[in-house]
Amino acid sequence: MTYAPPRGRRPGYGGGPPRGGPPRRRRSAADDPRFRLRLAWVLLAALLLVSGAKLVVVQTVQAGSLTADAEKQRASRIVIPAERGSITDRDGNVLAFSTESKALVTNPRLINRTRGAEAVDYKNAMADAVAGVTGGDPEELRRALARDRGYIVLATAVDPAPARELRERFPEIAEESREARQYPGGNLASNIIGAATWSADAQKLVGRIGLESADDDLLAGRDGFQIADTAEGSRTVIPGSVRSEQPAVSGSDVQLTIDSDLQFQVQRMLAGYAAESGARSGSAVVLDRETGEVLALADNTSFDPGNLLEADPATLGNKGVTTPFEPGSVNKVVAMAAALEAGVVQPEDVLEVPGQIQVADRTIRDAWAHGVERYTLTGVLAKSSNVGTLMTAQKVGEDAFSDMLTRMGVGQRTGVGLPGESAGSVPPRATWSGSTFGNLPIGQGLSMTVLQMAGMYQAIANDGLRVPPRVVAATEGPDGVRVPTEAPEPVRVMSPENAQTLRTMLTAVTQNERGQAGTGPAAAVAGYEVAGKTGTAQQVDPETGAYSRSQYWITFAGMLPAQDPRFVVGIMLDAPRGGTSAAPLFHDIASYLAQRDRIPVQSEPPRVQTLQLP
Amino acid sequence: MSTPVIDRPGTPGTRPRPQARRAAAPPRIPAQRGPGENRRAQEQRRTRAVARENTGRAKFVLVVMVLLAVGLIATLWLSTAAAADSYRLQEARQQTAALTERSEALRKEVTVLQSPGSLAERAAAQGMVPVSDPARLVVGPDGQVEVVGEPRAAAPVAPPAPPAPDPAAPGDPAAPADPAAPEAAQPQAVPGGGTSDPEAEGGDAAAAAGAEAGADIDRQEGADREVPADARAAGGQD
Repeated sequence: MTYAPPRGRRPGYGGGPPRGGPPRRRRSAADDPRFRLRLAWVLLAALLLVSGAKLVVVQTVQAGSLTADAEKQRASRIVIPAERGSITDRDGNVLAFSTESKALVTNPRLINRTRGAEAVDYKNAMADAVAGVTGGDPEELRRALARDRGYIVLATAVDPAPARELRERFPEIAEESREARQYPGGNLASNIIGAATWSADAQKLVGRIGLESADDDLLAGRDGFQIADTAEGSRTVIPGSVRSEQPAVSGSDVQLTIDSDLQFQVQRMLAGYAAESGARSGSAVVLDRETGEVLALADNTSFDPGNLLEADPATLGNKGVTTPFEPGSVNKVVAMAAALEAGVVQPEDVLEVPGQIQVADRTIRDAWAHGVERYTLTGVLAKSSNVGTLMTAQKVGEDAFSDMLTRMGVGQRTGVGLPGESAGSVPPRATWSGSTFGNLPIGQGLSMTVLQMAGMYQAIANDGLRVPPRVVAATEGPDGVRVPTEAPEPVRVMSPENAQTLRTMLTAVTQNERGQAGTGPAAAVAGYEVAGKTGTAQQVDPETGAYSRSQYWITFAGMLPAQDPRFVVGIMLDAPRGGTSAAPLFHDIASYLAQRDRIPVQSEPPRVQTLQLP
Repeated sequence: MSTPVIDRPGTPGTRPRPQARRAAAPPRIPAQRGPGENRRAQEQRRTRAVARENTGRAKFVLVVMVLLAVGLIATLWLSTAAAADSYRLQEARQQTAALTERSEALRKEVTVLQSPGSLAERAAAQGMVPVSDPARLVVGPDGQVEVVGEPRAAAPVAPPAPPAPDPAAPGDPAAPADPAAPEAAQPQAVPGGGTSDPEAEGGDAAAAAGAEAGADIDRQEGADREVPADARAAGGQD
């Protein structure tokens, strides 16, 4: 502190009146320099004390909260978005992937203020330009712009380049970064893939239905963040101010077992056939015989996942895995397989089959009236005789039959990897009444999905080894390592010899010899031996609660080629017009498969099997 | 660079430092030289030592100056280069962004063009039709060619018929091939009575019995029933 020396008290010095003037006024205490000096000292000391105290308070007591406040003011948490993984088919063709896109927003109120009289013309020009880029309705945009609001969205998914051009032309347009989901195949496999759309809340793509929703965690990845100081009002990071950073982890890519081309053809054929036959709905599935992989899984209706909002809600599901039905005669292979495994029958055994059979309190008839006929076991299956099947089932017994149902996977989820999978239903063994055993062998009173149905036939095609179907082939994480889906545990359903025998019996279904015709000759493919089974099951009429006599589930399950199968096909049509069979659709799919995969032609015609003896 | 400052005997101003003297005082044998000679030599040695010292300091100063100059120039050059590079970096970033955008746009276009749907559409536009049931030629080991299947001209496919066709005309378009005949030919038994009995299924040959008009009305009513959607899109769209 500087120290001013006290002034001397020499007379005449300072501002005193000149000598010889009027007598001096008596000095007050305030005039005393020493007093003033002391006062200043005290004031300064007090000031210093207060400042010091404040300093201590700020630096120690409030330090934490003040620092936090300051940081809050400058530091921002910047989210680094993670890219959503893609979905490909088995050959790597992309079915769904993400691109960067921009949402364009603007502030009409600000335009009104800044443009004044020209505002209307300006906004109209803007509406036309935006509509020109997005293909939207310019009138709607004009109306939106005319409203007195501070924030309107002009477009939601614009490519970055046109968005930039628009922004340069109209500085009032601002853009928001978004991720857009592209589905190049349109409705191809849409029932499996589902759809993901932008969520304004989460600020990212969110899976809404299908695999996009079920595997959302896998596909979405993890957003990263950066905590750094930013220039006020912008997201420009001040260099060197990054305090914490976590990089984004991209979502995993999912590879399906689906074959795009086959899926497309099956979708098209099924949609066409279902429409032609007036079916309420329909599903079809194609499995690889050896691996149980789902090569195609289609509903008769599909939707465009790129335009989810306008899709008909009834088309969004995946009925092939979610909606069970009563399979009808397709289920007769269970009784046959159980009988062959028990060793109680041979394909050539001749059964004396009456026109009806009594099981507990019910009478079961064949679909056509007849007296006692002599059918071979093959004939019972090929002609789909209910009575003959029940006779065979009774030879096997309820327990062996129930056991075979379980081994065939009926009543259990396949674990295919798609959301909302139904297990179907089989009455528990303990609850069976006398008549239950008159229903189940002929495929009534239990239900299964088309995928489970195809799974049963996959077991027969694969020499008795059932491999539960899978739809996800592999996932590829952000590290680029491909992780194949764990192979499901196969189930031994029957011996290879019995599977072979059953396949031969099933070829008789497509046989078309005079007097020895099966029920599904329309399924036959020239040059190939085809094994399969037709099915027709009565639906329950919701009005009467009884089985309807006009509405049926029409099914077909089969394999191609019969003796060394490569593909297993399951088809279900819900309530088509009377007289419809699913066999012709199987024929179309099988014929396409034979062409596409160049399956060797079998030149000698298949052996004619005896179905009925005179 | 060395400045030759030698031999200025008896310079009075040069006062050698003690340190220098110490350094420049080698052991000698006094008896060998006279006193005057001895003094001159001492002076000389002292002068030389000073000269050497001066030379060393100048060198050091020079080195420092050069270093400073080089450093300054290097700093300037680096900062200029950094500024220039930051422009180039900016440019490269913009280029990367533009190329990324372009590759994304091209990817979008390519994936759409190679999707089966778009290929089928373009094939149809060129007048191609899908083959439904090809006949096949099988060449036997003896060279004989056998035709398997029935050769037929491919017919253009009609677009899928609209749903809900006339229910009063059952069966006819649904059975495209003659093999369907045996099914229809089989006599139909109407599954018994109006009980709740899950009577034998209609048989695979089936449902032709259901082709009666009344039955079809039932079916139509049934068709109106809403099939529950298994999953719905959540809203959440802005």
